[in-house]
Amino acid sequence: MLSMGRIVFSTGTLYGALRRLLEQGWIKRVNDPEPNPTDHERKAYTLTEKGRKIVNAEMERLKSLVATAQRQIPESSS
Amino acid sequence: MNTFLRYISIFYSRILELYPRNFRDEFAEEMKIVFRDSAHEAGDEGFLPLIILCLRELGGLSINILREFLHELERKETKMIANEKVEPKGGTSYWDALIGMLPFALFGIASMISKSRLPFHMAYPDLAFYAIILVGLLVGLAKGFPRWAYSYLGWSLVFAWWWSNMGTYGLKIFGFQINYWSWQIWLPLLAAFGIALLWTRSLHPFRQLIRGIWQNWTYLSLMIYAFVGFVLLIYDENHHPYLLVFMAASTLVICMTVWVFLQSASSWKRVIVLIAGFVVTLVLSNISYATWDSAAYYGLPPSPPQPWYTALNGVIGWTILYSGIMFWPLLIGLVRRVVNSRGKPGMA
Repeated sequence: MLSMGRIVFSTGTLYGALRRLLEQGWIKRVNDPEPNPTDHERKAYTLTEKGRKIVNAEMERLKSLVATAQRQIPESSS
Repeated sequence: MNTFLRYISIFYSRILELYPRNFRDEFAEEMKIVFRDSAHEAGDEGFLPLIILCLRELGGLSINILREFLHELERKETKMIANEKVEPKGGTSYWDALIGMLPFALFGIASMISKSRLPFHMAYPDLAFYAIILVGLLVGLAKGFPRWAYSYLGWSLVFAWWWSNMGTYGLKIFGFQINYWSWQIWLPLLAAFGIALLWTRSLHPFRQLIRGIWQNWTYLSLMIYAFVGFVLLIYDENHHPYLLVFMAASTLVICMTVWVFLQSASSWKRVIVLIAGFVVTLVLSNISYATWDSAAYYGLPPSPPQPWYTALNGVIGWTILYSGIMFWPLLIGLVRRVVNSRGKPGMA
């Protein structure tokens, strides 16, 4: 949903990634903030403190990468 | 469309059963819900998006099932190596020593039953013994090959070797008559290894088997002692009126030997215990043969009387021969010592 349909995971890939993130302690399970009475088994996940730090560090790295790219591209070419 | 969606949901649930149990227990229910919702959304858009979703799921699942099995394998290896570090360096515990002693006790009992002329085929006690030993070996492999498992491996090899040339005329197993055994007797042993491999999904127990012998060569001597036990407990062609008493006493001595062996921390103490057990059992065996007139039993001419030292010479000779057989693994210990000393800096 967040990627606007550009990235589509199969459930196998999605839950494989969730398993790894849970094991690394980057995310944790929480109660579903919008529980559906018919889906008792549905779980929600949220970032842990460690995961949040890693996401922030990754965002900083990407920002720096974009900033470097913007500096390298002349204004006239845009 | 709803029927089709229900069928592919059922099919999806079946595919999820191929995942490792830990993963399945944790995520399968969630995955079913997510798949069901995705399938309904795709179904609302049309048949083609639904087919695309199914193909994507099939591709994703096949790769991820394999990946999760590899992950499970790594996890088990790590867990087994961690458990191995906890194992004490000295002798085994009281209960582990008893478990390791059990095959020797069972073979003695099976041999006594076979000699007792009971109203069933004399092969059944031996085959029951083999089945129990293989179960013990399987459990040992599943538990990462603890020290007592060498006893079960030794006995399973000795038994399969013994029976690979065995005639069992009239024996029926599950309706099949088997008159002669050759390679077939090795199949259950191979199956035990195969099941252990599937059960643990790890080569760690097999590596631990080799590593254990490399670290302490006396465990290979214990395996060879199974062969010695077989030779001394079988009392072949012996029809002494008190045969069962001799067999019971020999079984007891051999069991005590193995029990003390497994509880001993020192390699040399283990060597002495094995030799002592062998000598005592050999003396018992000699007494049984010396006090029974085999020539009279079989209707043969009487044997000339033997001087008193003949039996003593026999005990000494057999002890030297069997000690050589039992303790050749000492060479492994010597090689290990040389390899280790080369690996340490500053040592010759």
